[in-house]
Amino acid sequence: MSARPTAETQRVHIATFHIADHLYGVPTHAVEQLISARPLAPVPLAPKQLVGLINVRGRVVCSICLRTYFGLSAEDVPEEQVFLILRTGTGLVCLIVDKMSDVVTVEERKIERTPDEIKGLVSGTVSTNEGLVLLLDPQKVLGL
Amino acid sequence: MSSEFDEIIQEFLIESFESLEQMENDLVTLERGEDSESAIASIFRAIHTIKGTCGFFGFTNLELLSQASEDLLALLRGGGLEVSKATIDALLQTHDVTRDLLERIRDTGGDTGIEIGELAAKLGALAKGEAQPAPEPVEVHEPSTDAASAREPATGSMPSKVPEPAVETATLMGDDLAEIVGEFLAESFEALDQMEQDLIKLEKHPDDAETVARIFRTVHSIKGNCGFLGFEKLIRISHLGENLLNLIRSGSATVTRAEADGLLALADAMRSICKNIESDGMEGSVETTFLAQQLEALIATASMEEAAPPGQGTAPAKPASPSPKKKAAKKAVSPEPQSLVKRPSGSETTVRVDVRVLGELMNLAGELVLVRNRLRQMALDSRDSQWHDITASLDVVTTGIQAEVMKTRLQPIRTVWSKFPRIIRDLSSSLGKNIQCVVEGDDTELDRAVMEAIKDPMTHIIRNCVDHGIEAPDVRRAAGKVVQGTVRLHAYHEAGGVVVEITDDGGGIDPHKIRASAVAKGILTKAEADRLSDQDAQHLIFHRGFSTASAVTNVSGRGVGMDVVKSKIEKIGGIVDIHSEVGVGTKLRMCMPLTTAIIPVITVDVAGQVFAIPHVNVVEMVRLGAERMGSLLDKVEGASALRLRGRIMPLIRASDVLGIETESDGIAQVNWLLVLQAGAERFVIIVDAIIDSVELVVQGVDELFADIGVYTGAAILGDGSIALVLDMAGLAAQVHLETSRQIDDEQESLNAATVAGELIKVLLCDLDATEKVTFPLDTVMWLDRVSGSQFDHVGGQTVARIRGETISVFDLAAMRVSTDVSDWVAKRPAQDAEEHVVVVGYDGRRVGLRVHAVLDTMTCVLDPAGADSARASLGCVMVDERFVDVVDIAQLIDRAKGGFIEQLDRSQGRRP
Repeated sequence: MSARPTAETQRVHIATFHIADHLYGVPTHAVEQLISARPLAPVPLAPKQLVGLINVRGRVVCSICLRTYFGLSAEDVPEEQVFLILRTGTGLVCLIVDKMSDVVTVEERKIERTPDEIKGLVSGTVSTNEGLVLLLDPQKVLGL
Repeated sequence: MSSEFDEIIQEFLIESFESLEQMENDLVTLERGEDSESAIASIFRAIHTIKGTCGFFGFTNLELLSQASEDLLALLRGGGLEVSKATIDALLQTHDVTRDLLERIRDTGGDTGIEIGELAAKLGALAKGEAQPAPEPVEVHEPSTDAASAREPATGSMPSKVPEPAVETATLMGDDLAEIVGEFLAESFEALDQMEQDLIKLEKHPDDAETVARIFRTVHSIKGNCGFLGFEKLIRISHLGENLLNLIRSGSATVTRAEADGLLALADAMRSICKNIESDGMEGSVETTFLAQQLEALIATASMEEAAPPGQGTAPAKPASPSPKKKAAKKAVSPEPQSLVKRPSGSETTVRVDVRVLGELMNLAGELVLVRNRLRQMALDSRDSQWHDITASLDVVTTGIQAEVMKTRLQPIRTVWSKFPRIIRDLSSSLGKNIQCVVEGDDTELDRAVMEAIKDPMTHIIRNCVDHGIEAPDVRRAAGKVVQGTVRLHAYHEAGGVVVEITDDGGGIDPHKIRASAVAKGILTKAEADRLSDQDAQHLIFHRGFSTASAVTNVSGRGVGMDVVKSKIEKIGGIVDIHSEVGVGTKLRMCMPLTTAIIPVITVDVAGQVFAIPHVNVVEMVRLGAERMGSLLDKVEGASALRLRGRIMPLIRASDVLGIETESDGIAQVNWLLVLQAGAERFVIIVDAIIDSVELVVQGVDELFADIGVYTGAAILGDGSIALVLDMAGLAAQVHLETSRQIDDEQESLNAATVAGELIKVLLCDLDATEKVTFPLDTVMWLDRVSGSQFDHVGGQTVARIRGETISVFDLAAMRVSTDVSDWVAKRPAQDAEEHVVVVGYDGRRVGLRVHAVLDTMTCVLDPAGADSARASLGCVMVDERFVDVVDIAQLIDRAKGGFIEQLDRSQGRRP
């Protein structure tokens, strides 16, 4: 992710995407692949945001829907959502997003890190030309 | 004398060839001038190990050569000599010659016939000629490093003289050193395990030269390595141990209890120190003074005996003088050097592979299975026969790969068992018992993961056997048993799994004691305990918080254990069972799957979704029609239960447990049931369909849904879709919450009856508007609503056509109050009316009894005091706090027999 070695100019590539009204982002190095929406195998009794499982090249991967997690209305869900497969420390997780946007490059120091005390899913924010990007921590996606 | 010795040599050769390869690399590194310290360290270590071992086997040439090069290396290491082209050349040459020597040993069993004198001289000259002032006085042949003590193991020199290369260790910090230490530790742990076993063996056969040899070798090589790494305590105690072993080997000391104890204590101390090193790189505070004294005392005794030599002329003049040792060793080897010739060198047939690589291979093989499954699915759908051929071949290959890869992960159970003889020995001696350990099938292989899981449970069981199982010698004698107790470990493969049996010939588990203990602990009430069968009582030892040891010892008996044993075994899909006979012994049997990665499952359909249930949990699969289902179904305080083969089990709809909403709720036309077992719990679930029995590669679940508690994982099916694998323990807990409490009560009252009164299952009916009556359920054939049109009059009595049979129908109410046979006849109902008829059977006859309404089935305690033949009553039961008669069907039918039934029989052409 780092294009330059020095800390001041260290740059981060962020893949951005839309979920409902917000623009989110994850470091590009955490992205395994993008796949088009496909049927999910539901998991009875699971927390609501775990909307199902998919088979990604022989691996069973949990699919997380942030819309459901945040309790957002299902009305404006686009017809073709995208499955964003992310790498976590232990394996893969699938994030269901409305639409992919651009990859933006920002300077590391421009990122406003979330204070540790309240650190959760969103590890920081950064403003770009597209608007404010909420950076998601892939590790945390599964731990919701 | 034997192949075992060959094995030692084989092992030595394998290791040596490996170290030589490493040495070559190190030399190259050294020549490049990189990282020279660790390279020298590594080379020194390789040479030192070879030297230590071959000296012992009597490979003189090899020993001489390695001694010379070790001396040189010691100087290089100590800084007394600079690395030069000449030294490297000489060392490379040493490497080559050493290889030649090893090859010769491999081929002929000896190391003669290769000229080493010149090279040794060269090495000596290098050391001598270029020796410079070194931190310590250096003599070529007596470098006062640990090598000195290694070469002359039994000079009796006190350990304090061993100088410390510890400073060096500090300068060598880094990955390389860590790696060397790591390797050293791994080897040492292995060696110590072996040593323990050998010591036990030696105690039994004190004259076994091979075993002494092997122990000596272990201690020696640990000493050599740790000396180099600067682990002082280890050096000191291993040095003493070596001295003692040397005396034993030379025949000056014999192995008695004291020696064995001392050496075992040595092994323990060495292990503790190694563990400390493993955790923080330091030797830690292991107490060795006492051990040292103990060993010294033993050495002193032996040396004294030696001073007054026994009659044998062969006794060496000095305990440690190398020459007799070599001769002795040579004698041991010489009988069969030929046998070595035939075997290919071990180094060519075995390779060491990183466990992670094997793990990855395993995963890939798993994925291959998935791909194969999908392809097979496609082939099945296709009409092209070529497809079938290809998939068939692929099938064979895949299965083969899977099996072979699986094998690489298998280890003989010996790896876990090796420590048990020692445990048994120590425990039994501390308890004053005499116990031998018999091992069978220790080459039975099983998966690493399974091995890991059963390690602790087995240790626990064995401790139990020794502590609680086998009686004290006087007790055994009094019982007329052999004084020496036996603990038998037996492993074998059965039905695609592994069975491990641990048997003792001790006192067995006394069910009475267990019952008493269970009552005392409040686990059961007196009544509950009394009604347990002996076998069930014995199973109580798996109950949480249960311990029967009359005295809690420090060995075992703290009441944590057998329940943990059980849950651990069950966690990996195994089963534990116990058979015990008082006075004869106890057998614990564990059946485990070979591996945990691929498991056979039953796939089921629940509301259109596929779930997998591990085979091990499935007791029975049942398909029931609506009627049969209805007759077996019970309502126990609102919860469903099923009676099947004498058990009442909670019954639950899979879709309910999983919270899936479905339309179908009642009894379907065809019902698919699975009787499942999770621990002691048995329950029945209803699924929509049973699909298949397949083997699945189960993938672990993410934490996210591990919390849900009802899944152990997920797996990909042949068609690429996903099945969730149900966790029986979790499911049982879920089921338990909903239903089991009542069922337990029910089963208890069922059991209670066997004590307090006969327990009876009855059908409760309204006899008329005011009175209720019950029928023993086992006499009830079926219940029917019979419409008026099905009734008929035949020869003065009422018959009904029910399910194709003509059955006499009597009015039960009338039958019980009137002795007039004609009153019994049921009134023929109006054409469009419906009557409830209970069809009962006795002695091959069927009779219909008209009742007002059928209410329920229940289990009650029969009170025989209420029996009354006039009312044809067997007794009465309590229903809703009221007494209700239980109809004596036999009597009723007998009564009717003389009258109408025979008449009916005749009219139908049947014989009575």
